[in-house]
Amino acid sequence: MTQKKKIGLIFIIVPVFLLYFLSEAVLREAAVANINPQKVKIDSILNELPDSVRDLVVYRITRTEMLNNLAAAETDDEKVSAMVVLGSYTRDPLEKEKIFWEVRSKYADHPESAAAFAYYLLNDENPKRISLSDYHSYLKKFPQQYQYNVWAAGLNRLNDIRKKITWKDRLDFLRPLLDMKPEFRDYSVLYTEISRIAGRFEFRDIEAKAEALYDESRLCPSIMEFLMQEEMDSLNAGGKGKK
Amino acid sequence: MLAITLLTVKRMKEPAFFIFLSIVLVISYFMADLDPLTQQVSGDSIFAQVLDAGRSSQPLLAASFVMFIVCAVLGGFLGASEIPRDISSDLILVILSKPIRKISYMLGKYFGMLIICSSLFIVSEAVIYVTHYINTGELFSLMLMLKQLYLLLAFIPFCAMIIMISCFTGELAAMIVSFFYLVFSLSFSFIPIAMAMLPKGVAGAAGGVVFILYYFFPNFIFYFQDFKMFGLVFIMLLIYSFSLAAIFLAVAVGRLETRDFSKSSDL
Repeated sequence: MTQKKKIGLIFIIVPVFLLYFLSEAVLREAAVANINPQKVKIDSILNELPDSVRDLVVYRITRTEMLNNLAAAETDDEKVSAMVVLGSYTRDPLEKEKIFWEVRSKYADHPESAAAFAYYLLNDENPKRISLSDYHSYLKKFPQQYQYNVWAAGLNRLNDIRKKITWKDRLDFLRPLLDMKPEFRDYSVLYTEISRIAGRFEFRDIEAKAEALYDESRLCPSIMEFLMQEEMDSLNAGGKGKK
Repeated sequence: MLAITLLTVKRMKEPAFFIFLSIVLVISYFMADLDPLTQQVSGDSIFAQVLDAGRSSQPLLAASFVMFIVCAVLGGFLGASEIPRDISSDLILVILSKPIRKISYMLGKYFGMLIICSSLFIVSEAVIYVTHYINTGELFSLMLMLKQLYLLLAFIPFCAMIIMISCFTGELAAMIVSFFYLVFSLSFSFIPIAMAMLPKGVAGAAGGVVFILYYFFPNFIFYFQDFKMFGLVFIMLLIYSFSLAAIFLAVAVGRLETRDFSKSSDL
C-alpha cells in the first residue's frame, strides 16, 4: 500500500469511526428509552449479561443489601449477625479483616460472632491468630445449644485449611467434646468425626469413647426442638402473665 | 466494479443458489402466519420492550425476523466463499491483471453479495405477504410491509462483515467463522442495553471490558427495535449501517492490499 493510499484511508476511516460511535450511542439510547424500568425485573437484566459481569453485579447488589441490613440493625444480636454475614461475603480482604476484628473485639459474648473467631483460628498469615485453646475458651462461654454452631464454624474453618494442618490438629480441636456430656442430638455429627479420625490413627480408647458419646447423643432432643420448646414456653408464660 | 458485481451476481444462476432459494421459499411459506414478534417473546423481557415501545403502529413480523436470520445464514454461506474461491482458483490473478483495482474488486464482491442476500430476503418477504393474502384475504398495510423491509439495512454491515472475514480465511473457514461471528453478534447485542439498566457503577471495570468487546460486533438489535418510520432513529440507523460497513470494508481492503495471492502463500 502506498503512502498516499494509507493517508487517504486514514482520512476516510477516522470520520467513519466518529460517525459509527455517534450513531451507535444514539441507537443505544433509543433502545434503552424503549424500556420501562418498572416492567423489567433485575433477573431479566442479569440474564442478558455475560457470566463474569453477572457475577460482579450480583456481588455488588448483594453486598449493598447486606450493608443496608447492617445499617437497619437495631439490637446487638441483629448487628452481629449482619456484620458476620457481610464479613463472610465480602471479597475485600481489608474489609473482611476490619469487620471480623470489630466483631471479635466488641461482640465476643454473642454466639453469632463464631464466624469471626473461626476466621482467625490457626490463621498463620494474620498476627491476630487464635490458637485451638483460645477458641476452646471462647466457645465454652456459651450453653450447649449455642455452642454447637461455634464448633461447626471451627470445624469448617479447619476443613478450609486442611492442607496446612494435620489430622492431629483436627482431633485436638474436637477433643474437649469427649469430656462433655452431650445434651443434644446434633452433637452426634461431631462425635462421628472424632471416631473417624481416631479410628484412622488407631486411637482405640478415643474411638470407643466417641462412639459411646455418639450413642448417648442420639437419644437427646435436637437443638431445633429444644429452642422451639423454649420459645413456646416463653410464649405460654407471657400469655398466662397477661391473664 | 460493476463487472465484478455482475460476475458475483451470476452465482444466482448456480444450483446452490436455487437450493437456498427453495429453502427460503418453503420456510417463509410456513412462517407467514406467525404472530408479530412482540407476541412471541415474554412481555417482561428486555427484548420484548425494545421491540414494542408503542412508538410505531407497524410491528416487526416474527416471519420477517426468522427470514432475516435464514437469509443472513444462507447468503453468508454463498458470500463467504466468493473471495477465497477466486484465490484458490487463481481467478483473482486474472481479474487483477486487468485494470481493476483491488478496492474495486472488493467493492464489486460486496455489492454482488448484498444483491444476493437482499434478493433472498425480498423474495421471502413477497412469499410472506402473498401467503398472508391467500390465507386471510387481506393484504398487509403498505407501511407494515415497508417496516419489514427495514431489515434490509442490516444486510449492509452484515455483507461487509462476511467480505472482511473471507479476506482473512479460506472458503470453509470463512463460512464457519461468519456463522459464529453472527451468533456472537446477536448474543452481544443485549449487553449495552442491560448495562444501561443497572445502577451506575455496579458493573465496574468488568463492564468497561465487556463494552470494549461489544464494539467488535455489530449490534443487530438496533434493526429490530421499535421506532418511528422516518425519524432520527432511522437516520442514525442508516449512518450506523454505512459507517460499520465502511469499517469492515476498510479492514478487508487493508488485507487484500497486503495479501499474497499465490497458492503457496499462507491463508
